[in-house]
Amino acid sequence: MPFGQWTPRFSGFMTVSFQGSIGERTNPVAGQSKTVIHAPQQTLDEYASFVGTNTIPGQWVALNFTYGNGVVSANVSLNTWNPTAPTTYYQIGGQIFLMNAFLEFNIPAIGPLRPRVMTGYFGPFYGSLAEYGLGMYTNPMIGSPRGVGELTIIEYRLQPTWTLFVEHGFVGSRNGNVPWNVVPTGGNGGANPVLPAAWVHHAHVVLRRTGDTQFHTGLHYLYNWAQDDRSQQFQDNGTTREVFENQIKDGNITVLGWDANARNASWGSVGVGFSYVRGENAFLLRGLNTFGGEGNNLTDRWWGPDSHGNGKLFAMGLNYNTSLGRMLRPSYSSDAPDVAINAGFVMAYTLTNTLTAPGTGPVGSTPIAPTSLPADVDLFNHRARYKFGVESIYTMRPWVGVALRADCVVPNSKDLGETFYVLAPRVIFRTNWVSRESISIIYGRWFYGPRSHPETSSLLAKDVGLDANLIVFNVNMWW
Amino acid sequence: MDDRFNIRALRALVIGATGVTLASAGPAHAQQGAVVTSPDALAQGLRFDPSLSLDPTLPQVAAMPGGLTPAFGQRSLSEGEWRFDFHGYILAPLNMGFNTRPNPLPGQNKTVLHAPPVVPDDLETFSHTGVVPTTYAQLNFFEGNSIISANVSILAKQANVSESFIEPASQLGITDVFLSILPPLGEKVHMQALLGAYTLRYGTTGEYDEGRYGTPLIARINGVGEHVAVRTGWRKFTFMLEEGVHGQTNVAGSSITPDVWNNWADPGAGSSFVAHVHAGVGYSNWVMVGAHYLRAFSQDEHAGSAAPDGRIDVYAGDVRLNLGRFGHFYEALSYTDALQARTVSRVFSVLNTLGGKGLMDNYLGPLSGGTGQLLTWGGQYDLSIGRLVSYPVPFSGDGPDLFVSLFWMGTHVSSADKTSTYMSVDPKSQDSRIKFDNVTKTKFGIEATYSLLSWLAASMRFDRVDPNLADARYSFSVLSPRLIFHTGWQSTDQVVLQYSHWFNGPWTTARVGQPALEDVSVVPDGDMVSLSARMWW
Repeated sequence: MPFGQWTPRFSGFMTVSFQGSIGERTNPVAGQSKTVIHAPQQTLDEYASFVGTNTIPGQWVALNFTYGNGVVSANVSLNTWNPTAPTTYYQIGGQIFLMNAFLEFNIPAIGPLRPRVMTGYFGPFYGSLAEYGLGMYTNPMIGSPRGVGELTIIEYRLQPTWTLFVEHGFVGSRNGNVPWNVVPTGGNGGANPVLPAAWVHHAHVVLRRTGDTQFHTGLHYLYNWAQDDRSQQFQDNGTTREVFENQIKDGNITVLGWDANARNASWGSVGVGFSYVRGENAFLLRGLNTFGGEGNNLTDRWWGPDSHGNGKLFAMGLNYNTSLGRMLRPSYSSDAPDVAINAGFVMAYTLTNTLTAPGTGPVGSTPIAPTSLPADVDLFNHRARYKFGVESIYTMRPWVGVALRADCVVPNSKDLGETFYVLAPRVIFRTNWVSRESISIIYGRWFYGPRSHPETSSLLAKDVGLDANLIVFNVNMWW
Repeated sequence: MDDRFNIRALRALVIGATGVTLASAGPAHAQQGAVVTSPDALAQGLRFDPSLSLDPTLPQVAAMPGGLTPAFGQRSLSEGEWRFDFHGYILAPLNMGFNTRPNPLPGQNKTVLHAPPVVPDDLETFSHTGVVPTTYAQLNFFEGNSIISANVSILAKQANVSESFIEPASQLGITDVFLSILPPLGEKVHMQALLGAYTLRYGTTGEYDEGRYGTPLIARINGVGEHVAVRTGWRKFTFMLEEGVHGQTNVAGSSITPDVWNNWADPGAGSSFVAHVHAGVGYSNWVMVGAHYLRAFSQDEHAGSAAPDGRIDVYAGDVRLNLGRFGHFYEALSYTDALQARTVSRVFSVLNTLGGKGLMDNYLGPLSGGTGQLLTWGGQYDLSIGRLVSYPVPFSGDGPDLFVSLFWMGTHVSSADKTSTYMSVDPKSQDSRIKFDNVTKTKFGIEATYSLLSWLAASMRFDRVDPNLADARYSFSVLSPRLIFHTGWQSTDQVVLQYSHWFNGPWTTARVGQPALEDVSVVPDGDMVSLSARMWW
């Protein structure tokens, strides 16, 4: 925005999907067909879950409004992950309404330093492996702090092509602690008084090179913690094994990470990242979305409910995307047929000191995993998980392209019966070679292992019959 | 910019008759015609408007008093011009219902005041007339060029500031999200594809809106999916073909408890889908005949282990006449055939009911299992006397006028529920039974609006409703005089002061509570005063 001139701006993004997964009814009675069709889909593809592959584009709408000048701007965004028109009941939280609201200051340079400050409600991402996003998979390799607070970025030009960035941020949870007499229900989005006010402090050092081959690498430190007496309850809730509500301990999550990305107009973009997550009594912590999620998901899905949020998680990822058109023809200008290739690999390894045996789970819930493993196997300690996938997109005309994506997911190194594969061909329509929108028709086929199952606290029940076939019709646009 | 502002539907007719594009008056439908600009194309009637369905960006409300219609949207003129546009509609009424207390105690007035009024005007019921204005706000955001555009709407059916308790579901938030694609196929063929999440309405009696009753006579589809409409012309004929497939994005699990916060989620409904096709023929921009077929179905084991697969089929035909100075006429006939439709979800709506369960609650009966048929008819006729008497001089709505609207609707219900339900608190009274099978429901009304000054109009509306034509004790009538204030002949604002009196029958009932249910012990209000403000842009 120009200095001194106050200007409104509007930008946005939308992705909307028609989804129907096809399965079979176990014992149809008269008037029931053997084939059943589910919307929303009933496969293992769930956002932010390790067993999710990002094969299915979901629903997300963002309307971003900015008003400001070259020095300061107010930024407000309206978001939803579930537009109301195609819903059959109202899901609290589906309409996020005002998601981000912050001021951004572009402070005039102080000597060689160019400071930039953001204050308000927002959430940056760290650990994006791809050129313009998270890569093949949706979990941030390093982490994403969310809340209200500040982010200060100081840019220092080392050489004409080398720049050093130092970032520091501090955010608190938006709501803080829920009052003690609030009963968690669907109506209040499960607001739970046991959740403490939590905070995130984070710092980063990034080195960036510009030029024909761009490069950046960064070191990251994020720390999420709580020390709030109000979350202490009079009695323990026996149905939650992850925490003793009458003995709430101060929890913390530490994330150390490194990432690097190099990209060149000819050979593409390669990103690599590594993160180390350590949790101490982390189950109740919110505000920092690590590779394994917030405190609750780290506990339930990565370290086991009996760990109470104590454990370690090592994650690494690699992502590569390229265009054969650019690679093979130096004069390529994007206005011609092309083959684009994306490939990604993610691996994670967990350590925890508490044993969670197969067939166990939170009281009253279905078991964490099928009980085929010996009872003395520790489901989470020294467990490795990995997944990889490749996608190739052939754009043959300005308005149409075809793509094929294949993924392999190994959720449990201790039980390869959970391994599964996904194959997803799709046809993509656009209005031009380079456009702001795409329309995709996707067929997805899941090849499940004998014990493939949703993760703990998934939207799907553990014992649900998974659908193997999926039809998706997705439209998206950005502006 | 003038053409994106609302003007009278009357003016649309005038402009259409004088050969200028209808786009200047109509909503997005009309603007789509801008793709076809050659005189040949005009002669062939490719811009026949409105089309078989109502544009998704139009507010989901009944027609406004006084024969006004909001116009939304203005497309970019070229593929290279990316443009942002913003439109909206707000309606904020203060409604006060008057009744008397049977046995007032000391400190209690005999007269009681109700907000919202306790009157038989629930949207889901046949008794709905649309006389009572209800809060509504819609903001439409548009970004695109002449070929493709992103459309996002934000909706609310309550304003938080005037709520006595929070109804989360009344804040619909981001509701419609879709792409509109108008591929440049030449002057002979006009095609539009809507892709994403939005609402489609078929059988809307108004020329550019849902009509006086705010009730699509054929069906309403709320879903995510695709819809393609193709129009082509030959001589003075226009041929239209539409198809669509839609689904839903969430489903209520068996563990969810229906409650006000989740808008009374229905775990008994399964994943549902809608497929529909439509064909229409128009002649010389003054008549359009349409044929419609829609099927909504569910085959989902989550609706219940013993729940049969359900479906709703709708077969319909409609005719729309643009009679120039003689006004606008619409008539539709629709046949709804429901089979075990209890499991069909709210993505499909017949006569404003919510899915198969809504159809059972309001028409087919609780023991029907969702099996039954509705034969529905209805229509509307609008006439501007000012334009009629001005002919052949064009009348653009910028002077005194008398606007008359006639509207009617009926449905005959055949249900698998052959039983009767007691309406009275005295179950021994055989006369007080309400039945569902073989019931005919009718309603009709007339509204006349006299625009006497640039800032003032007076209106009178009369409605008659017979929820059971065979038993007049359920029937009622409504008389609604109004004063309409606005800032100009063609302004985009209204302030309406309205009084309504209900002539209720002895068994006329109103819905009260959460969820809104019939309560025979409640005597409906006989009078209502309303002060409403609305604006569109």
